Amino acid sequence: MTRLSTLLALFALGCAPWDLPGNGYDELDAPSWDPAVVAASDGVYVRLPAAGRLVRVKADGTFDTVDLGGAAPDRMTLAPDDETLLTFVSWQTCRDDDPAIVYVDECRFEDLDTASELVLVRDGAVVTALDVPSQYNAFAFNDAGTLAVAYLDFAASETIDVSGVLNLTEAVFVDIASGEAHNVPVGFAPENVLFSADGEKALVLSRSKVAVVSLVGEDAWTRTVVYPLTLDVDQQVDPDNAVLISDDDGETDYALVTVAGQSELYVLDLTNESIDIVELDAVPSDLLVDAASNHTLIVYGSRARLDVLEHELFEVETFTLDEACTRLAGGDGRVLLYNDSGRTHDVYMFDTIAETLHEERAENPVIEMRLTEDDAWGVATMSTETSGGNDVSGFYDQYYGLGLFDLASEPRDPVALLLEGLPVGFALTTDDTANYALVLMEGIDALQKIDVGAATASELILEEPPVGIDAMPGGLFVVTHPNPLGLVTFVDATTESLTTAAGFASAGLLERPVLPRRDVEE
Amino acid sequence: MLSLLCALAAPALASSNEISFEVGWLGATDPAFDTFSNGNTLGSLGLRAGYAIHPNVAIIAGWQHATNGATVDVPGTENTDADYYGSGTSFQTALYTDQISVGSKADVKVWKWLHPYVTAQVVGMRGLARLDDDSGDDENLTQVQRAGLTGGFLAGGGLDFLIRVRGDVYIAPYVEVGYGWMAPLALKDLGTVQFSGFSGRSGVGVRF
Repeated sequence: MTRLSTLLALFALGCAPWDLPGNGYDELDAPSWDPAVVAASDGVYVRLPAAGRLVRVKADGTFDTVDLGGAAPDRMTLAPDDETLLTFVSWQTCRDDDPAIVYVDECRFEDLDTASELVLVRDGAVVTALDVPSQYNAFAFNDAGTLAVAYLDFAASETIDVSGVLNLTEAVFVDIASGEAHNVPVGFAPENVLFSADGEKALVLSRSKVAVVSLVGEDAWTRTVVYPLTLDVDQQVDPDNAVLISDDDGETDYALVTVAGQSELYVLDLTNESIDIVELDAVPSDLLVDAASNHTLIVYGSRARLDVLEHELFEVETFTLDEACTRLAGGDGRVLLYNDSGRTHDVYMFDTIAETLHEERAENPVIEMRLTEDDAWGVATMSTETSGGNDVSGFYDQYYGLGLFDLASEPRDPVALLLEGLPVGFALTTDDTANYALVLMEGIDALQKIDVGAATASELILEEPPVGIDAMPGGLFVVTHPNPLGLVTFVDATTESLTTAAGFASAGLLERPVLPRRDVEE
Repeated sequence: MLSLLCALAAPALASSNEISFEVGWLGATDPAFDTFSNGNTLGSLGLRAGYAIHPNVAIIAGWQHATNGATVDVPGTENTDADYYGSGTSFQTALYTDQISVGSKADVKVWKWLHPYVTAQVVGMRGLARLDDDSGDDENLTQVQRAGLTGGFLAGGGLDFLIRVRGDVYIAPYVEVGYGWMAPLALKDLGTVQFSGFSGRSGVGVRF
C-alpha cells in the first residue's frame, strides 16, 4: 500500500498539473488586440485582429463580444453622439458552393474572396449594416453628430485597400439615425468635408474644386454648386486646410481654403456663389477662426508673423513675431501660438479683442499643446533636445517636459516640469476646483495627475506600464497597457479610483475561422 | 454489442479483475489545439480498473490526465500611433484535461499469456485552459482561466500479455488501439477544442 501511495504521488508530481507547461510553440497571425481603442459612453470598444472580433470592455471591468455576424472589424470611428460606432467589417467568402466547406481553411485559396460593409454599433449590438466600400478610411461628422461622410484620406493612403474597383470621385453620406447611405459624386479624391452652421449643406474639398452638397429639401444629396480652384485642368490644386466663417452681421457665409504649397487663400462666398483670392505672404501652416473677434488667425512656418484676417473686406493685419509659429490653439478671445516643428521655443498668447501679443518661452520644443476646458491654460508636452550646456537649460534639455502656459490677461510665468520619461499619453480634465493634466510615460507604471494651476503632481500607481490614454464620455479615462492578453485601466481622475479589465484579448482565440453568411443549397 | 458477441464466442474463460497504470493517445487535429501543443494527439497518463462480471466480460473504468502547453508569440501592431508591442510579445498557454471513462471489455484466451479483447467506453472530459503572460507571478492580472465539459466515446481492440506472478495474480502489459470521438470542448469565450480520431492506450497492471 505504501508503494502504491508513493507511485501515485510520483505520478501526480510527474503530471505537474499546477504549472504552465511550455513545450510547444505557436504564433498568432495578427496582434491579439489593437490598443487604439474607441472610448464610447457604454464602454471601450477594442478590435481583436487575431480572433477577428470586436469586444466591448465596460467600466466595471467586464467585457462582452459584439456579434458582427461572423465578420471581423477592420476600422472604427466614434460618432459625435459618443454612442454610435461606425465600423468597417469584412469577412471571407468562398466561390466553391460545396456545402461541405464550412471553415475558411477548407476553401481553396484561389476561391477565397473578401466582402465588406459598414455597420453601426450601439450599446454592444449592430443596429444597421450599410453597403459602403471599406476603402473609405476617414469620416467627417456634422456638428449635431447626425450625419457622417465617408471619404478617402490620402494622408493615410497605406490604409486604402484597392481591391476590385474604387471610385475616387464619390463620398458617402450616412444618416446615423436611420442608417440611410447616399453616394454623392463630389470631385476627384475628396479629402476634407465641412458642414455649414445651419446644417443644410456640406462642403467637400477635392482636387482642384470644392463642391457644395445640399443636405435638405428636394435637392438633398446632390451637388448643387462647384467652386473650381483653377481654370486650367492641367493644373493640380490640392486643398490643404479650410474653415467656415460668416461676416460680422451673419448674412454671408464664406469658406476660407488654403492650398498645399501655395500662398493664396481662397475665399468662397457660399451665399453669392463667387470666389475671391487673398494673397498671403507665404504658405500658411495653420489657420483658426476666433469666435470672440470673428477674425481668422493665420501663421506660417517660414515667416515670423501672425496675420489677422477680418471677415468684411478680408484685409490682413500683421503682427510680427520673434520666431515663426506653426500652430494655433484656442479660439474664443485667447489664442496660443506655438511651433511643433521642433525648431523654435517661443509661445505667444494673443488676446484677439485687445489685439495684444504676450511672448513666453518653452524650455524645450513643443510636441503637443492642448487647452484646458475653460481655455485658462495651455498645457504642452515637450521633447528633449541636444545641448552642450552644463547650466539649468542644459539639464532640462536632457528630459522630456510639461509646459504650463497661463492664458489670463495678466499671465503668470510659465511653468516647466521635468518628466522622467517619454510622454506616451496626455489628457486634460477638470473638476469644480482645478484643471488637471494626466500624463503617462513610457515604461513607468504610474499615471501622473498634475494640478495645472498649482503645478503640483500626484501619482496613481497602475498595474503595468501604459501605452496610451483616452477620455471617455462621462469623465472617466481609459489607460491601455502593452499586455498580449489585453489590459486596460479605467481611471476616475476625481476620486482617483482605478478599475482594471484584463484578459479580453483572449476572446475567440481558439475559434477556427468559419465562412460566415454562407447560404449553400444542400 | 461487439463486446457481447465476442464474449459469447469466447473459447475459454479469461476475464479478471484488474488495476493498471496506462498512457493514452487521442487524435487532436483541430487547429485550436495548436495553441497548446505542436502535436496532433492528446497524450495522457492515467489509471484503469476492471471488475469481471462475466467470465469474458469486465466493466472497466479509467481516468486519464493530460497537460499540454505552449509559448504563443504575438506580432506587434502596425497601424496605431501607440508603439505598442514593439518587436512583439508572447504568452504561455496550458490545457489540462481529465477524462473519465466507463465501459466494457470482452476478451478471449488465445493462449495463457495472450488475451485479445475489444472494448467500448463512454468518456466524459473536463478541460481547463489557462493563458498567462507572466506565469511566474501568481498575482498576475491577466491570468485567463476557462473550463468546460464534454463527452464522447472510445472503441477499439487490444492485447493483454499476462505474466503469472503467483496463483491467479498476473502482471499484464497491454496495448490497445481504436477510434475516439469527443464533442467540442467549449471553453467559454475562448472558443472550442475538439478531440477525435485515432485512440490508443498502453499500460501495465495487475490481473487478479
